[in-house]
Formats: sequence, C-alpha cells, structure tokens
Amino acid sequence: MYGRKRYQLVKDFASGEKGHLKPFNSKLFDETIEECDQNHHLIQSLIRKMEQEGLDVHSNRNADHCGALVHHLSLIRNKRCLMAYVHNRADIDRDLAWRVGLELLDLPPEIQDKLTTLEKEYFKNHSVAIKSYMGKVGIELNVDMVPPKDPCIKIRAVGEIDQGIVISDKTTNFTRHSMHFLKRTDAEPYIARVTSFTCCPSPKTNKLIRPL
Amino acid sequence: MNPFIQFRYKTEPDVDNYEPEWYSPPSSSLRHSNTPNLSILRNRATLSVTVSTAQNLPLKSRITPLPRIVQIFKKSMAKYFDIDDILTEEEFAPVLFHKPANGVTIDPSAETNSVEQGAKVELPFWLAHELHLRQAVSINLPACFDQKTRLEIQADAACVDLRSRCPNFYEFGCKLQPLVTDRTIGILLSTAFKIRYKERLTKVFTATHLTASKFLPFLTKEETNLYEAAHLSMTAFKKWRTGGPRFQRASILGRKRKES
Repeated sequence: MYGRKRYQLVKDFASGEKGHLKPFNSKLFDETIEECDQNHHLIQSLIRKMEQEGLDVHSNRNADHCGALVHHLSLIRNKRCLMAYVHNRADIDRDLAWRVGLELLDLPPEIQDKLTTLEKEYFKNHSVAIKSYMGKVGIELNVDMVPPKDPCIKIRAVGEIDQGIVISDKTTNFTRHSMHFLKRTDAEPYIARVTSFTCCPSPKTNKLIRPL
Repeated sequence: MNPFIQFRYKTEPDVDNYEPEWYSPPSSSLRHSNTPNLSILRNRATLSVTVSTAQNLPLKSRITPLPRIVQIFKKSMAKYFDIDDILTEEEFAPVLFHKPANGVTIDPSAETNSVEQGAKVELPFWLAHELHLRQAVSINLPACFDQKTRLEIQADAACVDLRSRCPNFYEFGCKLQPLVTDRTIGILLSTAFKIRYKERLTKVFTATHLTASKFLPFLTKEETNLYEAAHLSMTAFKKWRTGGPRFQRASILGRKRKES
C-alpha cells in the first residue's frame, strides 16, 4: 500500500516523549514531498485521460474521476501530516524560548543539534518578538509563575561554567563547588538550563536539595 | 477522592453535542503550580460527565446556538494539527467499493492498477471517510470491534488488551459510529470505558509500581493519558506535601542528565 511515509513521519514525531524534540527527520520529510509530487502527476494524467475521451471533468463521475479523487485526497492528507509535523515542532520551539532562554546559544548543544536552520531562525525571531514585547511592557515575563517566598536563594555550582559571567551589576566566577547568594531572577535561567547547580532553600535550613 | 460520577455517552451522535475529547494533554499549569490537583476528571477527560449533584439541564440549552455549518467547521478544524487525531485516522477499516476507480494501487489483490466495483479493500479511515461522504464506498466494522472483542469485554472489560487491538480504541470507535450501520458501538465503548475506569484507573493513586506495570500495556492511548495525568497530580501533591526542590531543570530539555 503506498502512502505510508507520512504515517511513519507522524509516528516518528509521536514516538518521542511528549514535549521533547527529536532530530528533524529530513529523509522522511523529503520522501513525503516526493509522494506528493507523484500524486500530483497521477492526478494530471487521469484528468488528461478524461479530457481526451471528451468527458467533462466536473460533472462526470467515472472510474478515472474516482481514481483522481483518491490521489487528490492522498495529497491533501500528505499536506496535513507535513504541516502537523512542522507545526508541533514549532510549538516546542516556542516553548523552549519561554522556558529555557531567549538566546539560541543558551540552549544546550544537544538541543541545538535537533533544530534545523529554519527552526533556529524561527527561535531567534520569536525571541526578538518576546524581548521587544517585554521591553514595551517593562516586566520580565519568562520567570517562574509561582511567586517566591524569598527574593534571594543560595546556590552551589556543581559543574564547570564559563568564567566571568555578568549577573546584574557584578561579575561572578562560577568555579566548581562555589556557593553564591544570588537573586532568584538571576539564578533561574541557569538552573533551568543546566544540571550543574544544586540549590538550597532559604539560609534558615541547611539542607541541600539536588534538582531532579 | 473519588466523587460519585455519572457518565452520559450519547449513542445518537448529533453534531451539536458530539465532541468526544477523551483526553487532553496535561496542562502546563500543573508543572508550574505547586498546589495539588486531585480531581483528574475535572481537568482531563472532557466526555460529557455530569456530577450527580449538578443540575440536570439538557445539554443543548447550555450551548449558545451557532449556525450549523460553523459548528461543523469548527469541530473538524480544531484537530487539524493534532498528532493523535492524525494517528487515529490512519487505522484501517474494511470498505466495499460501489464505484470502480482507475489508476490507484490501493487494492493489493487486483491485477491491474485499479479497483473493481464490489471489491472489498482495507483502507485507512481518513480515505474511507471521505469516499463514504461521496457515496463511493460503504464502511464495515474493522476487526477490533468484532464479536470476539465484544464477548471479551462483556466477560471482563478490565483485563482486555485493547492496545493490541487498536491503540486509539475509543477515539476510533467514536469516529466510526456515525458511518457504520451497527448502532451498538456507542454502548460497547461506554460500558468498556466505565468498567475499565472503575477497575483500573481509580486505583492509580494507591497502586504500587509493580501492580501498575502489569496492566499498563493493556491501556489504550486515551487511558494512558488519563493515567499519566493522575500520576502527575499525585507526584505534584506528594512534592507539595514534603516540600521538594523548587527549581529544576526545564522539563522540556529531557529527563536524562547530560554526562559532563
């Protein structure tokens, strides 16, 4: 049975974890587009055949018309599957911008590998739109939705981070196992992005809680 | 924790009220909030549930009347990009062709590139549905709704392996119901869901991982979504009770840690 490429493409997307990206399956994508072309050729040949026999294409419902209809429906279905694939990936792309960070380089490299160049463009444009909106409104919108108990938290850097990161008005060196007392809004993007931080709740309790 | 709930499933599907959204993905508000959400049915399954204490208003009076064509359009377009809907419609259904078709290779038993009138072919549901609308085919019941499954469901619905028959059993049945002459699919689906929900899904909160893993492979897609939603609610509740870590790696980046 022809036309299973689109099914494989959609299944490939669905087989990943919900909300997580898999690498863009350009092979299946291109094969589905090829199938669209084949369907289009077949439709044209069947319509030409009907016209050669001198039958009106719109009103006559013979076997050729039925065959052309099947190919037409298959083409529409291909289009739907391709669009759904791209649309759902774009949804995840937008979600990444909100939850992880607005800069493309803030994303971990394994995520960056899974995006195509067009998706990276989309990510950049979406980030620019978010930034300009936040600038107009005057509030940082991509922080945690739950209001905090403390404005500052204590964190400990577990892994290797670049030196000389600028946070608010001072430069901090996140050397391994160093403890810092930062504002919540500053620390959040780093915690969301990497697994290299453990965070302690307020200084009242000395319990160290590792992120999951 | 389990409010007494009555189900009403309409066996006569009219377009105004027929919206069987068996599942909806766990809302992002759950991930952000620390407050527990114990009533999973309120948020997850939006099949027509009436709580026994609710006023029993007829459903039509609560819906502001829209022109029928707009209603049909809205319902069909709402799921255009939905992956689960696309996968449901890829399930095969046997059809009987009333008109011949040339130039198509969908009939594997035909020698030429065509389908004869009166041929019985297995088509994917989306194609069968469109051809049925144009009166070119008539759809028969697929194998997952046959007599064997019905007898098994009658015997003990909670233990039937519905996923091996059809991963989107309920959604597929809902789509088939208006197109097939058989009127008993609706009752079959609703009884199966009711029994399975009562026996299996209500026990999510108390079941250990071992017992849960035994029946998880039997659940359909819709039931798995409900199960995961309940599981998420439970873990969020426990985390709220014990005061778990407030900040975590963004869930969108995946559960596995990168080995640095």
